Amino acid sequence: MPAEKSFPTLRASVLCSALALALSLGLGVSARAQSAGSVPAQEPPTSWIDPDTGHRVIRLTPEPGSDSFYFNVNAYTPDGKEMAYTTADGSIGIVDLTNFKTRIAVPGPVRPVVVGHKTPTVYYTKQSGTDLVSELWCANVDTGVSRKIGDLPRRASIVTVNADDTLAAGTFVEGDATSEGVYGARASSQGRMGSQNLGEPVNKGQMMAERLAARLPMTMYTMDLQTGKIGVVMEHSTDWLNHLQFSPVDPNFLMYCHEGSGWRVDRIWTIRTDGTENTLIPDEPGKNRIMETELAGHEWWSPDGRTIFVDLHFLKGVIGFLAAYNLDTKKHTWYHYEQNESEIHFNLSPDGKTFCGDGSPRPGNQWIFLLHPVVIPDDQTLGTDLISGGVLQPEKLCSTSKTAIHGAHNYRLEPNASFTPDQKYIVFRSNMFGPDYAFAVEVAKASSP
Amino acid sequence: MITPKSHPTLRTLTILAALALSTGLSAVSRAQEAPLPLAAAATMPPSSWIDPDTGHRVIRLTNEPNSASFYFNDNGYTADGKEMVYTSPAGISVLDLTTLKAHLVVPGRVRAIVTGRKTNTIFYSKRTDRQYISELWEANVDTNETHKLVELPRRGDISAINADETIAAGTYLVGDAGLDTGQAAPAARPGTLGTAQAQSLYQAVTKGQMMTRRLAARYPEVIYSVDLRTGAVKTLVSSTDWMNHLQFSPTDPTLFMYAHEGAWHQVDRIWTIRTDGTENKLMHQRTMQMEIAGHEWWGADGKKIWYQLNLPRGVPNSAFIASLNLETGERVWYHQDPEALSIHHNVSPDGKMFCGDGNKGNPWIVLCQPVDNPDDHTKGANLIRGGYLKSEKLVNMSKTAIHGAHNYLLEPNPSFTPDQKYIVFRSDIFGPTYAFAVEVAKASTP
Repeated sequence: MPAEKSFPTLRASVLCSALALALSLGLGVSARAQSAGSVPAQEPPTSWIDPDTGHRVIRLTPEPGSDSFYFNVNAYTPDGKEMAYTTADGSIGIVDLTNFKTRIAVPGPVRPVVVGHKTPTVYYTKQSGTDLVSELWCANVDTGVSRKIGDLPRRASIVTVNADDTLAAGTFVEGDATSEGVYGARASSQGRMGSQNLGEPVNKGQMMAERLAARLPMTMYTMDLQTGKIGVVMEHSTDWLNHLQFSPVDPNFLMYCHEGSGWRVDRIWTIRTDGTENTLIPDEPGKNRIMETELAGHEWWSPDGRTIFVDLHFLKGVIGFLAAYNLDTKKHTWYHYEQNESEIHFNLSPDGKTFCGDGSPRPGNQWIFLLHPVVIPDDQTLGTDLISGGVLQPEKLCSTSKTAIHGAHNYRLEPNASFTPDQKYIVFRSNMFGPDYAFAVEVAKASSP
Repeated sequence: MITPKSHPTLRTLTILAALALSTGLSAVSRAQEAPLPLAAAATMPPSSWIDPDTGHRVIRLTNEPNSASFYFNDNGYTADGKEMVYTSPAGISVLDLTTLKAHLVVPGRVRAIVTGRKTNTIFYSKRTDRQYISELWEANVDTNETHKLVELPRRGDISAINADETIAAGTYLVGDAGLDTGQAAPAARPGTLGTAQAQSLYQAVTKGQMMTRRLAARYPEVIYSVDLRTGAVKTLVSSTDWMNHLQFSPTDPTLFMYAHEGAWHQVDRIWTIRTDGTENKLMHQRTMQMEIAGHEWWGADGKKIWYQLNLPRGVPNSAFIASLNLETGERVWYHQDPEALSIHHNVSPDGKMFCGDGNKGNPWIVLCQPVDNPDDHTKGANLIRGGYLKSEKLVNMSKTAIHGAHNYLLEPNPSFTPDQKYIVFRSDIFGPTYAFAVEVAKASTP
């Protein structure tokens, strides 16, 4: 069910792929430049300056149907110089961020998990010969050397790797608990918009409500990345366990969520890999929700592993905050955002000082945003353990609606913005040229527009 | 202090007065002023007009320059709902809401408190010739009969009268606290006084500083009640908090609300207490730094209290009108759209709609309709019901072809008439202050 797209005209395409511009800025777009002479008319530009914002946008990937990772899944190698992405055939590609050359590191079909924190290793799963059993593999993206780590438990997925690359973690539905209620198990075609387009299921809300209501028994487990040994974190939980994210600093600590219609669950939890300290965040009983239908979601770790960020829909569609909770100090900070500057996902820069967001389908809100946090100074407010207030001041970086250069982005594909390790770019995926590609928009304004 | 205003031409005035009549509004007394000599017409503000920006009819209720309707949460309507008490430099007057005819009830420098909930009575205080001693009086607004109720404690004044008119409540500063600095009670009762009386209707430009200083002074203060049948005075609270804005429940004679005054973020503001001094309870517990709750008021049925809430102050689009149902403990927070932002809000007698008096950045009298956010099995206990307000502009308080700009140092203080057909407010859009009413329904013949 691909949505109707509009494409740039030939003239726009030629103008915009004006590589001279990109080259003159000393940007490493040579990989794109080499193919410029023979680009078919429909080939999207490799680089342009957003006419509304003045920020340069670079198409990072050449393959139609290629996508950058989910916003909170690390795609960057430890040296910060490379980024993993996926292609339509399920391969894992690598972009060299120093020269924007790309290569296929792992031929598909595979499913990427994450890029490791210590070595330039991408972790991925493949189907085994056995029904309902996948294998965990890893590959060094520089040498191409790959190895199988082990078989996952039956029906298991694995989604996160810890800070020192010694453990991975995932979940599975126990036994043969009906797959009718397993999210995404049916009609997998609904999960894609087309052969070259990822996208969220059309009936995602209904599927999530059904899956939550099914209360299927689940296990959360770890796999030792040297030995393949399985460890149990938690068993027989009838909460829908999802979005496991290892702490970026503590190898035995992870965050996970109770998935489902967000207001019907207490979403965010942390736990140690030995199953201890299973803790609702924020860990103040009765204080984690104030309003009816209040929901929190799209949580992620600060790079220093001390703060958990979450998009807090205090009153959905009416008032929202980007909420930060510091695990050491128990201090909360709520940054208010305007509804016409809401994001599907927020993210944080590596230095922890600036946020970004991928916009939303809400009218007037189709932008990739840079967001500057401003804390409201306190003035001897009466009370203890109070939440600090603040605002996010948005700066528009890249239009995702129709412009002279590209068509409108269809937000069934969530752009999932993330900062590059050098903080100079914000990476996102988009179908604004029809097929999906990964893009990078420069944080600084283009100096010679 | 009064800025030049523009006035309508005679022709405009005549047309407007005629329109008021043609729509069957009770503007008879105003209409009679239409054939005034040219000179008088040029200086007299129109008695009625249709706001060109909103299409709602506005009626000038009072004739006396510097007359004013009450502070938003002080009841000015008589128990039968037919009359409205107001103040002017001449004293306390009452307006018949059906004929718009008015008469002076209590002449002279007196301080109007509230109108009774049971009888057509205005309660007021007046100073004696002894320093710091005032008396509580009442007047029947229909017969103009007055009589003294009680003499108040030294430095005491009365803020509220209970639902069956048997108990009055007020505050005083103990001993000579604050007398040396002259800061004992800055702007303690913004509103109900006419300009000829002790205090200006206008807020001081330095109000913020004054309030911070007053709070920091921590003067010993007492909340007391007076039994209006026996004159017995009872101390209910003794504290160094700065306490004011006493408001009796409109239905429960033994319950009233009061405020810890001061910069709103530096106090836990809203409390209720029984007239025997028990059940002294905080009504809103903050969760955020710089979170403020204030300008609280009672719902007409006495079950709910309402207040303004900012999460937190200084963040745009983070303001709510909040309520607490005292019987069930249920709370509802309605988010304010930018058009709803006001110095004060008020609720209609049936509890179903709100009004606001705007502010410097949003100079409109507004009507706000609440939209509830239905719950859907949210996990958790004691959660707050959400919603938002849909606002409609009723009166443009900026300069228009008909009037000048309102100076928001004068707070308009909106309230619904008992029949909910009008919202009453005070304004200096014509120079001197007058009380006005804007029709909630749109004018049918614009």
